[in-house]
Amino acid sequence: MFSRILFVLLATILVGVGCGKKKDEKAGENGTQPAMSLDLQSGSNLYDLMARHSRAVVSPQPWAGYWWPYVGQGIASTWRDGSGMSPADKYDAAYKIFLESRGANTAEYKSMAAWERTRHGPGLANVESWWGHCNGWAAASLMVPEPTAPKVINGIRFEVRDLKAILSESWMEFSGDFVGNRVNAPGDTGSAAYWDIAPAQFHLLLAHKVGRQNRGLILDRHTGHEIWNQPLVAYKFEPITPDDYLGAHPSFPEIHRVNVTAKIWWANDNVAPDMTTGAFNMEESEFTSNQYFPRRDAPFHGRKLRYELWLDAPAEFDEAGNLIRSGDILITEEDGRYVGGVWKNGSHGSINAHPDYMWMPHGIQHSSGYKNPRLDDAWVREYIGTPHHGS
Amino acid sequence: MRTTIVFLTATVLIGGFVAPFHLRAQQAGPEYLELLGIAQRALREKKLRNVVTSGSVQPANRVSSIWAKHRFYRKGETWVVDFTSRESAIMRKSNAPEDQVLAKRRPSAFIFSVIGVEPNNKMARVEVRQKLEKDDVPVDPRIDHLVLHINEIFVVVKQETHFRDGAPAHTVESSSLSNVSTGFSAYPVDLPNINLDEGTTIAELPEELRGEVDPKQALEFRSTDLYGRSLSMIWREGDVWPVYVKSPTGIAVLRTERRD
Repeated sequence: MFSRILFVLLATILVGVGCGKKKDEKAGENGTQPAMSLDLQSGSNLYDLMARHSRAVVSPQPWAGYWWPYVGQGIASTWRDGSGMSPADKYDAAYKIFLESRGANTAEYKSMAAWERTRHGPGLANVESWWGHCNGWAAASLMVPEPTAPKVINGIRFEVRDLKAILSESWMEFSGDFVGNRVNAPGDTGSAAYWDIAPAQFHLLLAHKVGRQNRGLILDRHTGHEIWNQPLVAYKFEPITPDDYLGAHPSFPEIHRVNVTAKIWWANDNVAPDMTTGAFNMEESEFTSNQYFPRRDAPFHGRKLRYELWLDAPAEFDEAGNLIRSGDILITEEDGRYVGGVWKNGSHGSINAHPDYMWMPHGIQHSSGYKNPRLDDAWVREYIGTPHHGS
Repeated sequence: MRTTIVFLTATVLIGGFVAPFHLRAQQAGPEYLELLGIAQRALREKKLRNVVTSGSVQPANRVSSIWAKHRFYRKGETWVVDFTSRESAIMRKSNAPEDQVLAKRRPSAFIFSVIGVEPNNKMARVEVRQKLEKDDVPVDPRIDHLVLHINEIFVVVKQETHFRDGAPAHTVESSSLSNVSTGFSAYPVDLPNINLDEGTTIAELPEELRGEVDPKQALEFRSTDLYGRSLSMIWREGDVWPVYVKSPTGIAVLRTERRD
């Protein structure tokens, strides 16, 4: 027992003094290592995270799609469909045949498309132009392999857009976790909800969840009150140089400040109806100024984000200007407000300054009345797509 | 007409000035200093805690009484944890009141089984599976089960994720000294650092434990995950798993413990 306590004591002391870390391990390919040890670390050391996880590409890659706005009748929209049938109409047709094949009486069948037009359509009171299905699409694109070819189900031909639309509806309700608070008030550019998520949370989420664990994340790219969920495809932290290091603030000598630049890329929710998503290539997805925006309907868009992180010990550089040691990234919470650095993205404008919040879905939930309750998730899993192991 | 043009020009100029200025306010204005002050206060408190923890001259007092009365895992023992995920409408792409309503869902049950213990209790392997009954949905449909490797001081040093589709298991190794919650797990696998933290007496039992747990027989441990979010955990004497964990992902309650 005494030796165990002694071990804990020694370990505690080491953790307590273990702020500055040496450059002692080689960064992995693509910034990822399958089984990284965090011994003697808090997991938030800036140097360690930069050395090991300065960049990563989400695998399996999320796919581009469409956000099925309420003003367009959600997935009951016949958007650019030559047959005049919406994804929801095709589901109804195929599902009725499915039920009948099992001996069910469909005389009282309740149409999924009808519910969609009423509840996810312009029939909803005070519907706004940005309301839609991007949350369902983003979750589905992260969790389920991309439909890449038309499929005939129970004699009904579903185009790629139809398959993606039904997956998006199916993933409108799910269990998950999130960081940051949603901005709700139009014009809010100053509340605590506007300024979170804190830069430290953003940096740690990318490095740990995507870089270290190869899991996907979804971000609300719109800082303002509208919601534009996008699944992250890749990130890259620019190397931190001596010019980025601001040192300690004169009035707060224990806080050591460093500027960080991150590039992030996400899958687009406004692509052509039946487009399938090619492989993302970071080297070929270069930024012009602060954006990666090759065209409106490109499969991927991106943004450069600048922020200041705060550390509990100085950053140190070698003669060549490489970061060789640093303190841990600070994040704390006071009165419901998260504090961990500041954003520096004035050039993006107030509504696209930084992610509003970030989240990760886990699994589909039954409809509680928000997602279309007439959609049979088990049927969707059997005929359209089940989650893959990645992300 | 001229008045309109002047007005519009002024609006554009003021708008263009005010927006960037406001964005800079967090970086250089009083708010920046306020935030730095909060960060420095938090850092000083953390350093103080570390000094208190590592500087004590009475080792026996450093560890919690829970730790002192602890026993290690035994191969074959199992227990069940009920987990209720936190519901949120934060990501819903609408402001419609109908779209902000949250469901009250049944908790999901997880079976924990000790599948291996190394000699001298150096390490235990604990398998975690969701118990699925009719109409239950998997909390994470990709995952078949997890295997936690827990060392002698109750720190999860390795977590294996085994997938339903047969893909190779994914392994993440962690500190062998303290549990660091990286959050975002659909499975309730957070553990407190009972080897490092004293724990505090329980001022008020959570409603899930009322009538179930004697507060004098348990301690509460408070910590944060990697992103600064609060975790509250209660560990009852003699148990091999926390009886209550409130994390950003949800609430986990130890329901049964069977010692084989």
